[in-house]
Amino acid sequence: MRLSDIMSQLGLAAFPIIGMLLFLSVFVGVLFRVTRRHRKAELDYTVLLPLADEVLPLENR
Amino acid sequence: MSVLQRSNIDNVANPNDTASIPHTASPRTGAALESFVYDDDIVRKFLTVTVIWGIVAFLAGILIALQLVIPTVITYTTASGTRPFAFLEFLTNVQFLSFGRLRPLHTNAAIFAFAGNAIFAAIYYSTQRLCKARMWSDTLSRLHFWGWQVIIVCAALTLPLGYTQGKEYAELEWPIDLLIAVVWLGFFGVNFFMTLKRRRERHMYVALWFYAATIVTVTMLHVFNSLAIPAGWLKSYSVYAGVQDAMMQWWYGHNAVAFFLTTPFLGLMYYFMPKAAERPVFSYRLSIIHFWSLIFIYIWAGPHHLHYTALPAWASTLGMLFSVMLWMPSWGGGINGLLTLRGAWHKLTDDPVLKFFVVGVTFYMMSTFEGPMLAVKTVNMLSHYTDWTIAHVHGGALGWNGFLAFGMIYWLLPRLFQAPLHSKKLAEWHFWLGTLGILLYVIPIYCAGITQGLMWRAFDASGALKYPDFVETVTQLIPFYWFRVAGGLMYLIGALFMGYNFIRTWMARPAVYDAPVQTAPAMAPLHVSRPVFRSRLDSNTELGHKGDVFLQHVFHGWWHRAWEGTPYKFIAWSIVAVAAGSLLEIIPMFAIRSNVPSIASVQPYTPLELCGRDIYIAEGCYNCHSQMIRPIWSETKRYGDYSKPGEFVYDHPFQWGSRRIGPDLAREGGQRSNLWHALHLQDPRQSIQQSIMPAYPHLLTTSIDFDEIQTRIRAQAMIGVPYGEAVRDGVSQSLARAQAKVIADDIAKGDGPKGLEDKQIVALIAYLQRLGTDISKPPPTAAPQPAMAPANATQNTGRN
Ligand code: HEC
Repeated sequence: MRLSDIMSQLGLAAFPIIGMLLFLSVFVGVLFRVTRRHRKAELDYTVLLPLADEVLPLENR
Repeated sequence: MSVLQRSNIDNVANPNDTASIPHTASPRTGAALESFVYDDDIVRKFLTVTVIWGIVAFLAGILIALQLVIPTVITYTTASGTRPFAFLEFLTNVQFLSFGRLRPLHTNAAIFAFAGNAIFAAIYYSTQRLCKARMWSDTLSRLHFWGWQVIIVCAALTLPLGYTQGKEYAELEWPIDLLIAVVWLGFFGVNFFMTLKRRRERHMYVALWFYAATIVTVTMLHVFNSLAIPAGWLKSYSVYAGVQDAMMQWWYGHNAVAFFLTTPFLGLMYYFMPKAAERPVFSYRLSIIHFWSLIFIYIWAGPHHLHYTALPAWASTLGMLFSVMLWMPSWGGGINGLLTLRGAWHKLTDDPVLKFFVVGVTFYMMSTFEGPMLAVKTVNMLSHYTDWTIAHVHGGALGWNGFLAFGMIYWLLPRLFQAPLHSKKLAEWHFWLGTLGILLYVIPIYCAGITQGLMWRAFDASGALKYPDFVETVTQLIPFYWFRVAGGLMYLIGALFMGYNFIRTWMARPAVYDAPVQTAPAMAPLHVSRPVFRSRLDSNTELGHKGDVFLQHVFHGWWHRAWEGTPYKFIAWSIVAVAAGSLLEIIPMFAIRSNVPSIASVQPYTPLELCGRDIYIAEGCYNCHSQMIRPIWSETKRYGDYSKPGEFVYDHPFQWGSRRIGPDLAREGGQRSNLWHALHLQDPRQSIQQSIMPAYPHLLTTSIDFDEIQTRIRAQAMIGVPYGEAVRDGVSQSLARAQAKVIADDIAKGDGPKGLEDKQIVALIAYLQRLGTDISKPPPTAAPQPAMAPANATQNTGRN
């Protein structure tokens, strides 16, 4: 009896399909989260970072 | 925004990032401002080698492109019987310049030397600025730089010498693999993540996410795909075999494209594109979505490289689905990049940097459109093994990676060398030469791919193959191949212009670089922004109070800001996403028996055949020959019964190949006589005049190292190949000598070259004669023993 015989009995064939569904749902969750309104200020600030090599005054941090 | 405080480096007590200079306190938090200087020297270093290795990689590409057309030139004979181009023969018969050895050199140089150094330059420049911190350790930066260059030099030495693991884009042998792991994670990774930790800007711009994901994922891919058992200092065998090795390899190969050639370049795009356009990226939200979808989806797409192979259907269908899904985020990202130029399109006319970026991103969108299309099984049926794939990757590599790197180089040159770019005009010329060069390369090669794919599957009215002679389908491509040489040359000339521009700009640099001192307050500790929750419960256990506080945390959502604020949690989540995806895909592949039904008659290779297989790998025959007959009518008609998973259980590593410049060899055994093979390998053009296969005269003169065979058989036995008695001292050697003698005698008897019994060519022939023959043999009656009988030395049934 080899490990792969045991594993074969476990019905893992559905495994990747279930995994795919899990992935998709987590992904949709991520999409939902990043598009929420209340993060706007934070995003508006972050998007400017590459243009602000110079040190920003503290009020803007 | 305050203006940069400029001062010369000499005025600074400690030029490194040690926050030693007192400053005014911040009005709000009271945190003192800290001073630091960016390390641009390391960026200059990486940028310089990017240009040098880029030119080397393009040169190697042109050399191998030439090797596919030169054979048709050297055989050209004038009316008077002279061969004016015979002097070019060295391109086809010198072992160190052989196509199968140089092609991996070209791909490794392009991916790891050119693109690799380009992303390091980008990462070192932008990470310091986005984090408002000098790289954590100057020593690690230098170790990373020099270590990586040593790796490249090792590759440039070992690959032409034929030291290879025989897996595409992972060819380098195990000691170099170890060095890669140390340099990548130990030097680069540690330095990067420590810099993130010490950053002075709480918010991590999306480019940093892309970089972090790159470092983590490439480590994982590299480690798992390279697992191998050494059989000497520069020889090893993959621990995986056959179907599983193929699955691992393309999980790696595909994700190397994703996480070495895509995510870091996207980080580069998200940083340098706004810089060059002088406006923020079009939509930051879109960039976040772009990031997470790549992380979540890319990792699943690998099996699309193995459609219609012996890979189980569920795996390749999953690969196809996820590949098609990738289309959306990729285009979202591409559009995001292009729209960054909104309202600034006029700048495009006189800014070569923006030109490179815009065309680069356009090629990204083209490649990411074409990729999912090629992953659709029906399209793949036609495109697989043809030049279509080659056209696809060059659109990506030359257009996307190359142009993004060039744009960045031109943007950085004046800033890093603190002198104006020597010639904008030359940069413009580079741009146009490069663009035309790509088109001249990609369009004909795309046509070549479709032409050959259609010829392979063409039937005539009587139901026979219309082009039964494989070489007919090769001759047809030669004109297209000439265009490729021309296109590649244009691209190279453009790059040489850049090299010249680089040198001239560098020559105009100041005696001492200005290294402005930056100031920024240290990052405020996280708890300042974290709300403090108290339990709302009256009388409860300690656990109850804790639980309530936890719930409040969750509901108020501070955790996700904390998640992005602390790189560790963010990194952990990226690892979870990538690792979970990989495991879900790979575990069933390895664990379910029915995925690889065993075939009783399939036996391990004999010691001599194994030695021949090692030569096959060392010569890189897999760069031109597949060993995988797909269950497609035109293919079984041409090559014989389709390949079964169980036929490859002793193939460490698998040699299915990805491109058929020559015919499939999965059922080559017994098709030709030993003599035919000997003469064909000595010089293919003495058997088949139009052949473009390299000549291997050295195989007739180089001796077999019989002692080495014993070591290798033992290494194979260690990874589970049932070699039984053959692992005992001396057994393998004598078995190998006996089999070699039979083949050598057979060749000599047929009026072929004499005295080959200890030459490498007989080992290679033994291997070729074994290929695909086990399946039609009767199953062994006794306990499993390697099939030691010399493969039908005199049997000669097939075409001849
Ligand atoms: C540049 C690509 C290239 C490389 C590298 C290459 N081949 Fe070939 N090979 C071809 C082409 C094209 C043909 C078809 C024309 C011919 O038969 O010569 C061919 C044909 C063959 C055939 C004849 C198959 C048949 O029965 O018709 C064999 C056997 C073969 N190659 C073995 C090898 C071996 C072994 C190596 C490595 C030592 C190798 N090839 C390397 C391109 C290549």
